[in-house]
Amino acid sequence: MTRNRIVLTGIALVSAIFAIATHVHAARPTPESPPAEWAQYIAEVRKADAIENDEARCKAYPDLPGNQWRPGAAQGRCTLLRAPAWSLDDIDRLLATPEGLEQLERGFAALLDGHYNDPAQREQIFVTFNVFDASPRAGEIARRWLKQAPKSAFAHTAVGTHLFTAGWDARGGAYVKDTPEDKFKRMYEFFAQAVPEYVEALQIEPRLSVACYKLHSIGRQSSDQLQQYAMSHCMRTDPDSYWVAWEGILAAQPRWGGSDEQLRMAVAYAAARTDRNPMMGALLGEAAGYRPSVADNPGDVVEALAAASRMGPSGTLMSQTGAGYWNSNDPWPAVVYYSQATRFWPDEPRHRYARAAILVDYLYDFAWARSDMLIAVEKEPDNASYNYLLGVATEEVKGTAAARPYYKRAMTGDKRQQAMQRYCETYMIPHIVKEADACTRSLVTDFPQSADAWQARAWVLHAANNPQALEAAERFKALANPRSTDHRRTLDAMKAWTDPRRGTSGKGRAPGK
Amino acid sequence: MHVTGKGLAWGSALLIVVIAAATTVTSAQAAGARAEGPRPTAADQLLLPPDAKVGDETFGELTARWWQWAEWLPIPPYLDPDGRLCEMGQEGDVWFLAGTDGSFNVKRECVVPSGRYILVPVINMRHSSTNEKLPLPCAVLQGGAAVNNQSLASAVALIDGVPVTDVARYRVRSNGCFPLRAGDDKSPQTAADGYWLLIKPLPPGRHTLVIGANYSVDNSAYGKRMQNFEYVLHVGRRADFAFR
Repeated sequence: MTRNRIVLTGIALVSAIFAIATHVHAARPTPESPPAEWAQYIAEVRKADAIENDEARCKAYPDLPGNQWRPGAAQGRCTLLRAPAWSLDDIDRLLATPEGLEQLERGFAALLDGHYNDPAQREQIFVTFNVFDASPRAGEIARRWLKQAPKSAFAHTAVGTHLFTAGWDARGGAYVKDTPEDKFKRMYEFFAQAVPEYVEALQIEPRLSVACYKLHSIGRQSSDQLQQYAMSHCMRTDPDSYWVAWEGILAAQPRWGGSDEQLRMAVAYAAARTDRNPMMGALLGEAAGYRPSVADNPGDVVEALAAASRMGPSGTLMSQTGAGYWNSNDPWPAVVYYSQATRFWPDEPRHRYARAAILVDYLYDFAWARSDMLIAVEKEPDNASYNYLLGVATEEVKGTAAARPYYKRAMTGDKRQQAMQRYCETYMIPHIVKEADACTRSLVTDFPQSADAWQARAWVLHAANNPQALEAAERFKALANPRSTDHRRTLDAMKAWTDPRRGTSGKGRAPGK
Repeated sequence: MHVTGKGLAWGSALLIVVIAAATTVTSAQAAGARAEGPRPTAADQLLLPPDAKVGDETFGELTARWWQWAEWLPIPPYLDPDGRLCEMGQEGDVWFLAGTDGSFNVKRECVVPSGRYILVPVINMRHSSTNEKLPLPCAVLQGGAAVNNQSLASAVALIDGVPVTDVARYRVRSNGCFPLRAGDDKSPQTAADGYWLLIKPLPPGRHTLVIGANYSVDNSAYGKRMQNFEYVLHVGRRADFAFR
């Protein structure tokens, strides 16, 4: 890749990245290798990132440098990434026969016993019930299970969990004040069905703390009475559960009606139990991190966030710390913390996107960024920003043709202009091909006020010896930004064929070669 | 709303003696186990056990009907300042008395017809499903009503100056849940739980009833509430008595 092409690509990148992170400054350091303090850590992160299995990757990851995590906290937290004991397909298959049903019931009973008696199986029953998501298929399978085993606490919990997830999905994740009434109405419809299922499950099997944990979550949103009932039950039956402690911490947060003091007490509760359940250690930064985590600009509180992250391995706190360093234009610590976030939330596309954006924008590690964005786009295939960044990274790693489909998918909403510009340019780099004509014609039709669009159009017409190239060049000149290095270079290059004293030349290459 | 009370009145000499002799209630006792030891007092012998019935109504059903009575009256009986509301809404074989809402101590004077059983709460709770969008199962309401009653800190009752030996024995829960307004299934479903006395019909004449109790629960609504009230009961016909 020539230097000028790098400039073209780099400037286009800056334009692109500007839309992603408005904090980008014109001048910033561009290290390609990490500073010595992070070098070993980054090397180990790259190595661990190559592991496909989420739990194994998480366990192989290096811990955050400088952490004060309790022994076993990170490794314990990693176990929550284990695949569920049965998938929906497995459960569907087992329900097809009476023997399969019996096997399923025995299996869940063993999982419940393991939760209380086998440290290696701690919390796995919570993980497994998560297969009963909001999808219609999950609901159908859960209800079929319940119909076949009406006295099964596990079947009741499966139905309840499907309805629980559907209820939270219906509500969405916005604050109460930003949530319309019809979403709450729909949420209540689901919750009203979920509650009796969980209550029945607890009547049948009081140790099934998944049920009281979920009831508490519903109660936190909807009913103090339910919340109190649920936590009372959970505390009696499963006081050492990571999830029960986590719900207690959530309920203690001021945004959920608690207070800073209650939050400290809830975290202290978890801290007192790390010897019995080491993964409780992952919760120890929640009190210190709460106020910084709700600050308007994480860059203003990044040191507090980093301090909270060092108390306990929280993927969420570490993503916020990464955001803080990113906002502060400090890319390597940002990558360090976002890497930890992807460690504990490997499928969360926002963390993958954030790390990839930093890798592209600051560090020019396109291959690593591409691997992150392939995961993000898999999770949200229609996300324009994700597709755009995947296109940028792919273009550098695999060439323009390979990037084309991602730019095309990104041509929606706010990203349409940028993505279309890049898409058309894939027909111009390294050579202008015939598709460039139709593409740039559409580009200037849709965005007639874009200097970059006219720049591209002018070069394509010029390469084809089309006399309309002069008009396109004039349109570009009229819109060009005199402070843009790229535009100034293009203006200079255009003089060779637009200046009547010099005549035209029929070279078909875009500026940069 | 729940029946609550204020601090115990320590001014009465008799009361002080009785309190000094009273046993502090533990959670185990609150579970209803009968304490071994002293012989039943005259007051004990006036009481029906928790599994008793009056006519066709169990003790638990009577407590549910008590709540329906208390919440139905235009002025709640637990706000009665002196006994002027005693006769309101009374029907059947069981006469209802009330405690307070916990904001005041009270002494009431009432006429009770002869032959009536008397139901009086020592300290009690109800939990009703208040969110129409999320009706709560009875088990949840029962759990809610039980929270404070599992931590009864102290309870004292005197009938005609004679202490009831083990007030904690008389923990009674409603039979499942019931509509808070009698006959209206659309009214909030409710579970009740508490400590009650169901007194056999008293002989005609003047009788006294003194009750004091308190919960001790942290982080619970009404978890520190107290009851402190007295009744002077005139059992017999109204015409037989003169009032101030």
